[in-house]
Amino acid sequence: MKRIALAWAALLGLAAASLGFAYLPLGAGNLIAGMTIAALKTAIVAVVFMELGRATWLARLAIAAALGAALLLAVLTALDEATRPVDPAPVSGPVAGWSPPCHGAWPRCPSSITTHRGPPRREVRRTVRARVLVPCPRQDGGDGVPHRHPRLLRDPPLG
Amino acid sequence: MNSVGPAIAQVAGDAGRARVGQVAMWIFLATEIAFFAGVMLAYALARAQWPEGFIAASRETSVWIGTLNTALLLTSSACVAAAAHATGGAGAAAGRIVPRLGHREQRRVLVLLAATAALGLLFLVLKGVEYRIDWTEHLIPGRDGFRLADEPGAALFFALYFVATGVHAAHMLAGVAVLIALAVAWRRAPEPRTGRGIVNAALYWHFVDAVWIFLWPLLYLAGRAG
Repeated sequence: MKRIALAWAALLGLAAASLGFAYLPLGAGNLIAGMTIAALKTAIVAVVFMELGRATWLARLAIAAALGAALLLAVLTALDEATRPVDPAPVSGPVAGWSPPCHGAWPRCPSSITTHRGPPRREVRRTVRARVLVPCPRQDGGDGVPHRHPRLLRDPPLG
Repeated sequence: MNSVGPAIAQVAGDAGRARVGQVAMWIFLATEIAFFAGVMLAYALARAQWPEGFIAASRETSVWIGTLNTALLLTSSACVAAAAHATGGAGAAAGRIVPRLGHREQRRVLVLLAATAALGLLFLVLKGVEYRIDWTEHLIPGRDGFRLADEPGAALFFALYFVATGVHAAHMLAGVAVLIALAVAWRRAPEPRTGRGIVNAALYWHFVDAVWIFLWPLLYLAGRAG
């Protein structure tokens, strides 16, 4: 019981440390500190609360296999991300004024386009903040309001 | 002499069943690790893609409710660990013989289970309050008038936020239901079999706690410094 009380106090202390670190301007260090403290807290929970050390070897094997599979998933996903030639489009909710696609009236209009197949990754990263919404040249409904496709993005012209 | 054989067989059978039950729970938790690892990987990839949008969106979450919920969950985990320890802990779940509990210890287990369930329910109530705040502050992605629509990646952050915390809350609800059922069963018959059930339920509860331990810094603490 004393061990559990000590572990509980340590967990609350680490949670307070995590909150404190989050407000320090450490840049990428904030995420590293947060994840390191989270891993430490999980280790305390697994060893003291779950008594992983006293579990049968089969139970420990199951957890080791799960963690190994998760690690493999992370490595393969990171490799895919690092070698992918195009960026995905930002996901956004419906925007006021959105209307259905103009079905081939203009080759770049279809709203089904969800990935930005433009310049290579590094160029996209540099210009991502400067992208603008492209109005479709088609006029809809006779009300003079331009037909807009908020998901279709284009980098602004250079210069 | 004739009655000794079946009694030994029963004890051996109980121990075997207990061990199988414990391993089954760990295997179930292993599949849950794979599930939540997928959600967290999706978060990591999306955050690497749109760091500014994710940080801007994270600042909109209610850090104090998240922090309070973290404290509640850690405390509930300690309560259920104490309850499991009182019933024999991992040794009982692995089929080892544990001494019979006195009336006072039996009552303590019941109180600890009730406290765990109550803290879990309080967590869920606060989560509901938080969802309501998100709704009134237009932080629901896909809904007309989403406040961060101009911030690339913010909608994806909130989509992942609702998926991760929603699935976590569903796990919490299931855990609370199991704990209440076990508390009722323990009150009726505080026997070793129910005690093993409590130990396995505690394993599940600790896992749900561990998931929140990672969700809290990822979803609530990002971008607080700047």
